[in-house]
Amino acid sequence: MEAQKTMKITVLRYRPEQDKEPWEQTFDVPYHQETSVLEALFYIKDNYEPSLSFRWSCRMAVCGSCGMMVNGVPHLACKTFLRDYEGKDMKIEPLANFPIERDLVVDLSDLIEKIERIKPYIIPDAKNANMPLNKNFKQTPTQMEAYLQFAQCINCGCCYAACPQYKLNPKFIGPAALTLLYRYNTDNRDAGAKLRAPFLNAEEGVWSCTFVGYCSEVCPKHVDPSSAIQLGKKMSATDYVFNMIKPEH
Amino acid sequence: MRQFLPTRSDEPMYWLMFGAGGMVASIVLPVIVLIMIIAGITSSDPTSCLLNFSQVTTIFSNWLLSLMVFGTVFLLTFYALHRMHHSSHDFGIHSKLTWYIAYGTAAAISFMSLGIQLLIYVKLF
Repeated sequence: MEAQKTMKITVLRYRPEQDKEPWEQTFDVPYHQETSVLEALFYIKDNYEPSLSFRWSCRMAVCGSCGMMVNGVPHLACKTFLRDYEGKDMKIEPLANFPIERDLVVDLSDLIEKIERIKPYIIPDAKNANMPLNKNFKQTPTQMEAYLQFAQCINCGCCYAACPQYKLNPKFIGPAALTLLYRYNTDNRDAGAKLRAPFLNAEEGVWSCTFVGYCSEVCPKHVDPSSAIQLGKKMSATDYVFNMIKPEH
Repeated sequence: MRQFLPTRSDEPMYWLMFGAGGMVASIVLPVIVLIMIIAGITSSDPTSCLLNFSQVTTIFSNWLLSLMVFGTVFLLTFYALHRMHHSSHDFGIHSKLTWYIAYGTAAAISFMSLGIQLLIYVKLF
């Protein structure tokens, strides 16, 4: 059996009832080939600091609860492994660009509010609104392919932690919400593009993005939000030109 | 409750010109550079160049070609300065001033190019 390896893990702590500002606490955590960052946090909670707070649920990169900064890069703790940081120290911090609630728990209400704002659900055409339940919408594989990649988002917030534009201007609707906006606009069952248009066309919509592309790099589900936003710019620019020719208001 | 809706951004106009400039930069610019290298600087003796100054001015006296050169210069300068305007935002300069500097410079260079071409045109005809 191979010898147990240990890693120095520094965790950013913040307990609002007793700490004035966040501080760092370092732990020695034993690990093996399969130890994830999330498991390392469980180890710390079980053996050193029962008060350490962090969000988690599914442990398999589906729920999007455990987004956090690992050595300054946004990651899902359950999908990041200590073996990839061998020989280095590790620093775990809460997701950047969000207010810290406690330890590694951040306040994601801005993200949730923005996702709600762009109406992330299928809005059917008026003539299909009362379609009987035994009838189906038809969708070809090509039609599905147009949006499927962008439907993989788990709302973990990693792209917002990576986005320099969101950091500069928190009004920016941001990668995940704009990706969902594009996802529903391109769905052939959806007819809600007009309702979403004001958010797409706004300065704080797709036009705040300067195509840095870091969101796509850190996305744990390979959604590629920056691609969705550039496609959204195409959509918005087309709308702009048509609106110039034939104004709607 | 009435939901507050954000206003439409004018950015698409600039973005479309930026996109057109990118196309020009990748398709037209290499050709121009190549022609300049082959035709203009192949010899140290200006009389033995493939194209001499009077031949170049003759080419640019064609109004269609002149228009194309103006379009190329305009889109290329616009393309470059639009990117700089947005990069300045990334570097933490959020003043409206960069908008005036970038698009003002692009307009100034374009008008200069237009002026030079008009001079060529007037001189020849």
